[in-house]
Amino acid sequence: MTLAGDLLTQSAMLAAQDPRRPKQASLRRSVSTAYYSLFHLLVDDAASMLVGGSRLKAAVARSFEHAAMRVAATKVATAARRPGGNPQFEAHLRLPVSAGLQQVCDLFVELQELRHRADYDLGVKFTRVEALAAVSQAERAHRLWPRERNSHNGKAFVLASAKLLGSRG
Amino acid sequence: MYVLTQEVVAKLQRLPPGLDPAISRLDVSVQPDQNGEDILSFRVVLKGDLPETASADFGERLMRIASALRARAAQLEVPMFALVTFVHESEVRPRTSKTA
Repeated sequence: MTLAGDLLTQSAMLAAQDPRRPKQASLRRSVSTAYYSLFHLLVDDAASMLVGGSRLKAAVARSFEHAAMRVAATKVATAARRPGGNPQFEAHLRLPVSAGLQQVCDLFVELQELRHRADYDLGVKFTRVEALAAVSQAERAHRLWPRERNSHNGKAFVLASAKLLGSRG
Repeated sequence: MYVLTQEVVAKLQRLPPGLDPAISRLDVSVQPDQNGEDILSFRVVLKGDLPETASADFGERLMRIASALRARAAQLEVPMFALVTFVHESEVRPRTSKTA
């Protein structure tokens, strides 16, 4: 099993813990881990795409930044929903963007935002359904991504995530 | 700064047709994200029986709801990312105290 797969399994276990009265710590870690499962799934693929199985892979994977990936995911999802809004970025894509890639990108942004709240915002109380929803959607993204990873737009997303696609067309 | 008018809120709170019948209520608000920028926040309150474990099928069901809500926000030209979260009505209903 890959790190991403193990993290997904772990996030599901955390969401299901303490059936009668779930602990906030478990629910928060579940949401956070669901995000990291998707993050590592994408980063591992991206690093493989860029340098294959070479010894550089770990170093390349380490260079991916959460914020840059969020920006890339937002651009791709926005191009899918409202094409024409960012012609410079869209010049790198083949429109229309598939529904599957759009969903992966939306989920990446969403899970990252939830992860931030789960890890830092003590004013928010998480519920079990919120945690189960986050994990279930991460599972869905894990299923969708393999169908998108080799597409032109999937590769454009990876390159934009690595900040290798300039804003100039 | 984008101001979410009551008219737009009312349209966003109206469920898109054909959506999951297990939606009890939809709360819409604007909240700061991790960078302090405004995001549109949908909180979908679900009713009925829900799975007790996570699954991709449950994720797909929720994703259909989230996609329809995001499409509605885009149609209304709301220029913010839409965060969609889900809770069950039993988790948000105010507790009533039982006294003898």
